[in-house]
Amino acid sequence: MEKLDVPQGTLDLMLLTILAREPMHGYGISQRLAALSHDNFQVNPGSLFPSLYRLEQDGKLKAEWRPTENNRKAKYYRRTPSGRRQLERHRQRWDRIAFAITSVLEGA
Amino acid sequence: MTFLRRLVSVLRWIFNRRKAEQGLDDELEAFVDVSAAETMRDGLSLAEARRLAMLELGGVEQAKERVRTDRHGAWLDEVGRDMRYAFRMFVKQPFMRRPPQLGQNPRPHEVDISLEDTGVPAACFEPRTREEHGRRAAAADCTLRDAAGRSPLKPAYRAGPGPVACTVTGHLERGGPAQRGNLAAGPTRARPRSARQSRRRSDTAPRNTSRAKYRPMGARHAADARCTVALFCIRCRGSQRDRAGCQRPS
Repeated sequence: MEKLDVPQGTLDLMLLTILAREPMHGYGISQRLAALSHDNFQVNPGSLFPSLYRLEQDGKLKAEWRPTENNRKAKYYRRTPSGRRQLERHRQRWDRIAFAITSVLEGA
Repeated sequence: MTFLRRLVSVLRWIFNRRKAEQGLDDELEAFVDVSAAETMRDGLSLAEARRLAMLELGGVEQAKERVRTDRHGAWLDEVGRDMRYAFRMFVKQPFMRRPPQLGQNPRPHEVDISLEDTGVPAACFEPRTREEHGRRAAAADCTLRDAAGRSPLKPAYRAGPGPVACTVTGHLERGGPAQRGNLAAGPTRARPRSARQSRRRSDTAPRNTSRAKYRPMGARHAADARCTVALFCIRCRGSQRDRAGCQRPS
């Protein structure tokens, strides 16, 4: 099945949502994103890492090096309280956008 | 608060660049390692798994560059690079020169003429201005072409400092190297017998009093009634020659 592009501005929302459960490394995040989107979204690491770094710069994520289950070192990201607040704001905004688009499509 | 965090991050990036770059390298390497380890579970060899992981990453350098350019404060890097470049250029060439504007021609003494294996008299191409050069060429049934071979030469091309090649046809080619009249005057001399003779004629020919600098490289007659003349901006000499895209005939 053909992969879809992640809608602009929604990658941060999805990253913060994925990291709400547990800290994850970059590869794990991309795999989780693909699984949760039923393989519709496949985020290129070239897009994933800039977003992770930006969120980390903004203090929405915090990163630390840890060994993985395969005993390799990887950088794990976890959400901060500031990230949780941003997720709530983004989520409300996205709900409004989705509601508006659905209303337009159903009303047409 | 976010602004302060960004500021701290930008300062850390600026003053602790090596560590930040190392961290980025390590993270991308870790991504490839973890991805390869997952792929190896499917029975692939380590080399093949790493190759697939690298493909998935889309190039380590490309990913690093994306991170660098997308992070906050990336514009500071660009400003720093521009400032360093400007400083180097200023040290190298402290006297500022105004570049020729579009529609204006370089001053006469800033144009050099090189003759590529041709016997066309240099004075025929006295480059007071490139427009004049064009008029003369037209009067002499010449075709002006730019370096890329585009023809006819459009005014926009004349303004640039790059090389301009002129392919000359018609009666001009029969003019000897010693002929230094108007191109429109037509042929007055027969073809010299040898290259040496031709060179001697060129050397003894009266120099034009114009400040234009000539560099007749070949004094031979154009054997096939065609010759090529190239204009070069003398500003492009030396270290700036390459950057200006000028070429000199060997």
